[in-house]
Amino acid sequence: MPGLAREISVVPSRAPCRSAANARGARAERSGCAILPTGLGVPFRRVSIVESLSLEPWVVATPRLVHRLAARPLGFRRDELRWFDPMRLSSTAFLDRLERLDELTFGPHGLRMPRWAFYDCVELPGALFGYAGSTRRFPEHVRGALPDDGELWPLSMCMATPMVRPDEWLVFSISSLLELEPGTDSVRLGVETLALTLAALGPKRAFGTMQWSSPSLAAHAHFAPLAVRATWVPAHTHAGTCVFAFEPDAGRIEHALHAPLSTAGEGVVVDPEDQLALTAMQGRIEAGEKLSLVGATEATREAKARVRWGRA
Amino acid sequence: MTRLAPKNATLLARLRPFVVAIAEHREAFDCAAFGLPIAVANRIDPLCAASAPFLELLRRLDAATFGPEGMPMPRWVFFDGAELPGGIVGFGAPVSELAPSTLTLLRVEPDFDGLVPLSMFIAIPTHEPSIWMAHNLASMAPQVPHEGLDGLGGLTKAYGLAVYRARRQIGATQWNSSALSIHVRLGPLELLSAWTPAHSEPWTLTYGVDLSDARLLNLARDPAGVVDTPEVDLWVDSQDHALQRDLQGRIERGERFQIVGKPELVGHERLRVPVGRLPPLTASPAR
Repeated sequence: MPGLAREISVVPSRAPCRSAANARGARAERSGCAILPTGLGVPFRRVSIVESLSLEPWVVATPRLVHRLAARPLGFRRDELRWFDPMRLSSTAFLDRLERLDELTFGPHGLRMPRWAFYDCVELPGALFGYAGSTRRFPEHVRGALPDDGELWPLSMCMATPMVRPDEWLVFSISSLLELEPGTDSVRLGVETLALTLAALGPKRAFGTMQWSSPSLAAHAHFAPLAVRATWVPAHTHAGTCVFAFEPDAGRIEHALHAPLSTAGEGVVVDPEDQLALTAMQGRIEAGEKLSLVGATEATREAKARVRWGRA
Repeated sequence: MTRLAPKNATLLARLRPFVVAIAEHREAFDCAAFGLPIAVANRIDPLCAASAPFLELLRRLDAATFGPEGMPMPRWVFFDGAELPGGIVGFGAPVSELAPSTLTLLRVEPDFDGLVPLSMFIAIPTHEPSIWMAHNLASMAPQVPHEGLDGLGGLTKAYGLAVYRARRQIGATQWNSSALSIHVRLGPLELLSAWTPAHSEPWTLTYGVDLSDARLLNLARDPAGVVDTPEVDLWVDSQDHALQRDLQGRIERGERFQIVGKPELVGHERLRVPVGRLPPLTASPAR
């Protein structure tokens, strides 16, 4: 299927990955970052891209979510989170900018999210998290795509939708405007944005989806091992989609934020264009076998997944 | 156990319920709500590749019902936004029991041999326990009058909310939506927003309503159902965006309103919606 291969090779992830990170057990880290106490008394370092661009964390959600958030996710106090209630007129301008971020990152791949879907599927039932700042501090290639208006612009986002069972969240559509130029910074900011989402929501289990060729695969792989629930999803716009789940405890978040991605090791490399292999793996999963995503081939947007049979 | 007996008795006589959800979610659902069990064969796992033909029919049902209004759901939104985190509950009929014109409307493949979905209610759990977001209610009843499906939309939503074990439901719809007449059968709908720029269509309202068996029965057009009918304080014309903005401002300043009854049709896609005031909250709003 050459057409399919070309199509999915450029598709960014519209994938949920929800996590239940609470901060317990996080370890202190290495040099270069501030260590801040969380509400749970666990240190978390603030992170590199966020610090270097002077970014602020933001949330789009209805007000009652505040009671369910960790007291100090990644060291940020709750009142440091810039909060946008989707049911209030004052949030409109920021939501417009968020739609622009989605347009710039997912739009070229035919995965732009309709504004009503933002509202119905994420903002009302769940939340969006991300980092924002002044465009004047953004890299030049990002500034060129945005107005120089001095407003707070979201640079990255991650969507989170609650799932049926308590403390389980689907986390998806991780993206950032740093993707407009190839490099590793967009992967790092993806990791930091996902980590913020997980640390804030503290789920016991997170689900995620991503295309096997997704530029965000390396970001997700920082949280490996991931239990792969499906390798081939005909119901999705792009059938070559990976559905996975993991339990994002504080140690895993800490590791994702600060340890380099292991780009070598065990596992078979998944070819996103090999439909036969993807459907064969799907058949084995449906027959009861367990598949784990254990890493990625590189720490860039070009990464491919490494998987092995057996529990994560 | 409360049982459903909708006025249009042929609905339950002809149709069979289905649910789409991943396996562990189905364990949390009541798959025999109102004493109406969902057959194992009609419990669809979106993570199974073999479910694809049925899920494609749901997409076609969405296109046939919402597509004309310009809000068809992309496939990935169906999956990421509904099938994976929440659930889809609906009613269908065996392909052999449907008129050829119905099958044509839904573009059912000639070799399809299974349940053809005729309605669906998609809901997503919220971050508050037992509160569900009603995302999509679709019924083929208006498109296929020869099938005798009057009341299918309300029945589907009532049954779905019971399957999800929802205690409260929130939702978003447009002031000119004919679906308001269905939603309000649950009883007075508290307005959480009256003008919503976060939505593609700012003339969207957001509502919330507590649920009970009596309200669900009323929604399903079961004569045993009952809901309150508070007084009307004002009528909101679906084209009066200035009034909707004004109401939004008043809601943001702490006033409370509710839709208290069935809207009146006053023109093509134009409604007058009866609205009543609610007393302000005096204690903690936490529900």
